[in-house]
Amino acid sequence: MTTLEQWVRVASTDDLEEDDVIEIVVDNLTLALYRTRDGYFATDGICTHEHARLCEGFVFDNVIECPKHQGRFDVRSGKARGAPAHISLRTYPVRVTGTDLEISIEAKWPASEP
Amino acid sequence: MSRPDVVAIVGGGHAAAIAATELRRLGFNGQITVVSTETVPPYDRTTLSKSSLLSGEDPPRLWPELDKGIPEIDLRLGTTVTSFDPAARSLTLSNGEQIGYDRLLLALGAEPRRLSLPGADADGVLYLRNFQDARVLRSRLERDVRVAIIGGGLIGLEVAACASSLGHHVNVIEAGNRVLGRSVSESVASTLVDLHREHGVVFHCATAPTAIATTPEGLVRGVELADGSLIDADVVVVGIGIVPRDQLAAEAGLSVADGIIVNAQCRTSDEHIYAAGDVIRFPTNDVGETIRLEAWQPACRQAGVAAAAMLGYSVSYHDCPWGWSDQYDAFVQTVGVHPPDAEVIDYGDPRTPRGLLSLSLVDGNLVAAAGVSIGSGIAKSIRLVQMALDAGRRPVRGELQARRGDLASLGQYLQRSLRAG
Repeated sequence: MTTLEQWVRVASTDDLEEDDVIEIVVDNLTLALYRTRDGYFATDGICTHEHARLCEGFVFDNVIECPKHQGRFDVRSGKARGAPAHISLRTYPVRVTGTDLEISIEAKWPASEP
Repeated sequence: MSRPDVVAIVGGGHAAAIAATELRRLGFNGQITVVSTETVPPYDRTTLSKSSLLSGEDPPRLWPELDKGIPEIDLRLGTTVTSFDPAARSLTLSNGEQIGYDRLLLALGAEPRRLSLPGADADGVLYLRNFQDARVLRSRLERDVRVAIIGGGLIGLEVAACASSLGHHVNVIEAGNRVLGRSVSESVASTLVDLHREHGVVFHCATAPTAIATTPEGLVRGVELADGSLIDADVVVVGIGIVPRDQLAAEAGLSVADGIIVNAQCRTSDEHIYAAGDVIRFPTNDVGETIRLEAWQPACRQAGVAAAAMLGYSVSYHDCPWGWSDQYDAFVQTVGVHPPDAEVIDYGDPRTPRGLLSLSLVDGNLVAAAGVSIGSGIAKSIRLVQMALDAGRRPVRGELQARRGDLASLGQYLQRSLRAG
């Protein structure tokens, strides 16, 4: 990797409990930041199905369930996991520095998708 | 029974599309033939009365794009099944062709209940069920028209919201004492009615239409009510319920009683034939009570169960039905089946982001909930109730009553009771 990744502090580790999600806005991008038993993850903050804020959804078993139509995505890969969601979410790397949660807005598409 | 080689699916809606997709996902590589009377591949029907009606855009497609190497699904559009023979395991199509099957899924859906009034066949009396209906309605709404809606159910109110948002004057006529009597609590319904009134919609409840008034040319000019008044209208949209398309199954000798009777595996009275979606009537308990639902999420889940069951998986359908409605910027969700005579306890406030939640109790037991918020803030509360009901939790009536009005406290109580299990 020759790209210089830019990390932005977006939240504190205290801002999220396990199986929790909050919305963050970075560079005009609305993102969802999750904490699960496997760590911290970030995806696009708006559902790919119809306009709905994922921060109002439910997190369980590394899955975010959209509040609007209960479409599901794996927060680790962004992959759509259940109807009516078919299109996956972009994901963003998250790192923990002390109590700071930092993300890089170098978006990643799930493997096997454009 | 041996695993099937050939599956036929009759229907072109959500249940048909989900079942076909699920069969492939479960590794079934045999032949799948889907026979649909509609002229377009399966699409998201739920948008026809909401976003698609408002935007004029075609609804999103549901037909799966299969990965390389997975056998295609044979989709026969514009084709009707005229009969089927359970003994010979074959279908007869409208073009005379016969198709054999090892397993058959009947996902025939339902028909809008027709208005039987003088003038009901006038030009301008419309129904909304499929792609074509939606195009016709949308084209009528492109002109400056007065709209009358007969039936204050979810479809009626969703169309009212779209039509008034598009700038039309809308009257809603409901025979019952209030709108949404079958779907949501009185407080949720009145929140929506207030919102509709702010948009200029006029409601006429506890009054029945007696005739459709027409011009000499046979065009709609209004709806006559029992009190003798006339509501002027150029377009009448009828949303008074749906009737399951179970006739074909009845003719073939399957058990039918206002819906095709299935068991918890979505199997009909014939061991090779399954059914799913709006067309079925299924057991809700072990003592023979049955129910017919008219909603998207149960249809999808039933289709998944039917697909797995026909491949021999041990699955069963039991569900606490969940649904939603969009009207203006209000978001409605329901879980469970709202009984008309329930004890209702309200929490929260529709003017706050978390919204208003109504719990419905029968004999002291929580059976359903409905909520409304501006934006999707109500979703978390509804999801908690859904999880409690799915997990078989019996929240204590006194605890629910003690938290009356306080949505945050109710949420904490439900979360605690879920964790306790």
